[in-house]
Amino acid sequence: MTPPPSRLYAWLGLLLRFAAGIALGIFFHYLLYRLFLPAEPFIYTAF
Amino acid sequence: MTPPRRQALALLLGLAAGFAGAVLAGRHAAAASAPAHFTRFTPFLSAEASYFPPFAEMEHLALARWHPGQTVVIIGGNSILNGVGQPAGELWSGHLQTLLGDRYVVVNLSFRGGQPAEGGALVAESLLRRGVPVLLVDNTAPGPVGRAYENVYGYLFWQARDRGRLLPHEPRDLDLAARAELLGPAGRIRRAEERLGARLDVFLNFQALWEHVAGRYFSTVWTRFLPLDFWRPREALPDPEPAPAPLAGRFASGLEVEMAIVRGFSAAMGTPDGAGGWRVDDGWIRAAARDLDAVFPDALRPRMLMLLSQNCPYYRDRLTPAERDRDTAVFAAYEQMWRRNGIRCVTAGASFTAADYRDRTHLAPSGGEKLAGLVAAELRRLDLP
Repeated sequence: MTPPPSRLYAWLGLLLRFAAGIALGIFFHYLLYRLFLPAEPFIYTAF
Repeated sequence: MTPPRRQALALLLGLAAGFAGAVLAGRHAAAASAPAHFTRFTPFLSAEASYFPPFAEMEHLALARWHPGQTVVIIGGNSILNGVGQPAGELWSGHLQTLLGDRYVVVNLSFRGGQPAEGGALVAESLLRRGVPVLLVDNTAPGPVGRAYENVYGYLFWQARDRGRLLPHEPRDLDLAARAELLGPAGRIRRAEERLGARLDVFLNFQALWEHVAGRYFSTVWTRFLPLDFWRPREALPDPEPAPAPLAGRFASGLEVEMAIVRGFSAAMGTPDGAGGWRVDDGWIRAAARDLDAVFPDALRPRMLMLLSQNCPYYRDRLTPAERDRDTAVFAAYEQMWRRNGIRCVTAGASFTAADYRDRTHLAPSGGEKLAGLVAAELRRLDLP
């Protein structure tokens, strides 16, 4: 017996939001990396 | 639970799962990642092109090659030891590996613009703490020694420290506290950011993961050195070091500027002694000794070879006899200072020819070969496991 379309859409919606959450979580991790990159430009000094 | 709440919960759960997955991937990268086919930090694989190798990656570059029974030879220091002037196949550290043989593993961790207490020295300290037999080849010039925590590679110091990789060294702790007092407002902010970043990275491993991704898969940081190719995996980019220009025109430009730099190596430190010789200002020597004491732990010093990198004779030969004598006196005084403080030290390049140099300071392939011979002989004299 197949679930009614509205219930299927509800599950699909939850799944999509979970996937979007995963992407956001990875993005936040990446954001930390970018935030703490040494920001000063590298100035090459002669030795 | 109402549908909107379920949807919000699904999003939050996904967010937590995604972040936790990235942290786990970062932990894996921190435990094992190192650039493949590594010979040195090229301009594309260093801070110049906004690639910041994590401390863990530098450690793995050494540990991945080491086997029990071997001694790791870490090369620290600046662009001279990085091998600027020597194309990839003619790198001096490759010659050093050949001369030393299988009992040693040579790993060139020097940075262009690096200072003696930075990256490579910190990795050597960490290996020593782990009980891995290690020797450190480093370089500098007469003058202040510099710190590992005050330049673009300062993040490596904080990562090493916060991950518990450094040897206890009270003079360094005191120096850190004293020099923190001297920081201006911008310096304090930068220091606080570096410290916070390193502390968070211990648990979250964001730098290890995303630099691993940048090195192996794709880079997300734009750099003016690679304006259109910034996205390409940094490990896949070839070492761009060209062969030196033909000798005839190699030193043709900027003579006055280079001569001013060469004179600057000793001008401030030497004063005539009234008997036709030169006296080296004791204040400079004492300051360098204090620096050295602050940055190099006692246990590392017997395992170090410090090279004082001399300038190309094309320029030194254009000094007046008095300036040459002053230069010699200053290099000798600094050599003695390093030795007095327990670190083997020699001047590198004093007997090289102009053809051995690519420019005023960097060595051509022939100079690299001579340097490898000099360093191999000195390391054998250290006679340490």
